[in-house]
Amino acid sequence: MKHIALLAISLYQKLLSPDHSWVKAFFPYGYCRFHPTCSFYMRDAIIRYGFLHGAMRGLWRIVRCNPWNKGGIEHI
Amino acid sequence: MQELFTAVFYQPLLNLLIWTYNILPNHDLGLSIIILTILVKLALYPLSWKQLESQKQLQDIQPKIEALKAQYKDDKQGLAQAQMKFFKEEKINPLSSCLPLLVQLPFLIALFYVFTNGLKDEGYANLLYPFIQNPGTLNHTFLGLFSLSQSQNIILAVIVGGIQFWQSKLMIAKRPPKVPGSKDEDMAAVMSKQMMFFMPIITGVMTYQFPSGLGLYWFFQTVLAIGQQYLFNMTAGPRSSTDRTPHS
Repeated sequence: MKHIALLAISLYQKLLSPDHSWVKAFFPYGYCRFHPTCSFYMRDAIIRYGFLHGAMRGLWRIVRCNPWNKGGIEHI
Repeated sequence: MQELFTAVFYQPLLNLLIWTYNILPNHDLGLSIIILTILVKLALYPLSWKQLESQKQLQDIQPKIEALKAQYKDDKQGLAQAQMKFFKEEKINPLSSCLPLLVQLPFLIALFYVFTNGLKDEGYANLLYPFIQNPGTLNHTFLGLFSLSQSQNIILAVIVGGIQFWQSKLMIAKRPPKVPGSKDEDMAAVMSKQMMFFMPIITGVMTYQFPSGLGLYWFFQTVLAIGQQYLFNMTAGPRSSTDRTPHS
């Protein structure tokens, strides 16, 4: 499960992500208001806490990723 | 899964459309599409306003970002961190975020289905809530001009493509001027230039391919977006990057 999740994240980063894939050409200043971006955060969280707990933390990060959040540097 | 999507996203929008259709005295589906478009735009208004603000902020601090970019030429990590630190000092964060996109996406997909499939007479009847009256056969002709359930309306396609071009042009004009330098910049400039022509073509072709109800929706939502942009420009006022005061 863990490996499938990590594979899905790296696929997302290569194909869709506005920060890491070809889409970033449209966002010369980056897209995500956080550093590291949500996908890297999710990856680190899953590596450290396992699939379920890590994914929950990653999802919570995405929920916080809204215009009323200041963003900034936030490692797992 | 599909039932869940229908129940949560599709059905409420469809019922809202039929409800506005019912209360309109002349029972014109086009007018109820316009009302639904306005409601959706109003719901998203704070969000899109915030986006315009972010665009403006990004434009204002552009020189500083370019300086950072030159400083951290080969260090992407370092650049990201320095950029974040700078935002923190300025108490702003003009970058985008994922949540609004993720929340909106299912609604936009549902809206797409409402304006394409939902308009078919056999498509909506059994999805109506008990308290919404079934209007029977829908009047698909918008203001007596054209049918909303039929596709391949070339005039509408040209009009929608045209207004999309206007909006794209407005957006590009808001982008920071091209700075000679790294490949990234050139790439972005080329891409945005291409977008200016691609977007209108794509929306024109889509309008032609799908039932005209979708085109009418797109036309109206673009008009409203342009209106909001002008309103924003008026209230935000023309500010140069020198007299900028940081937002809090």
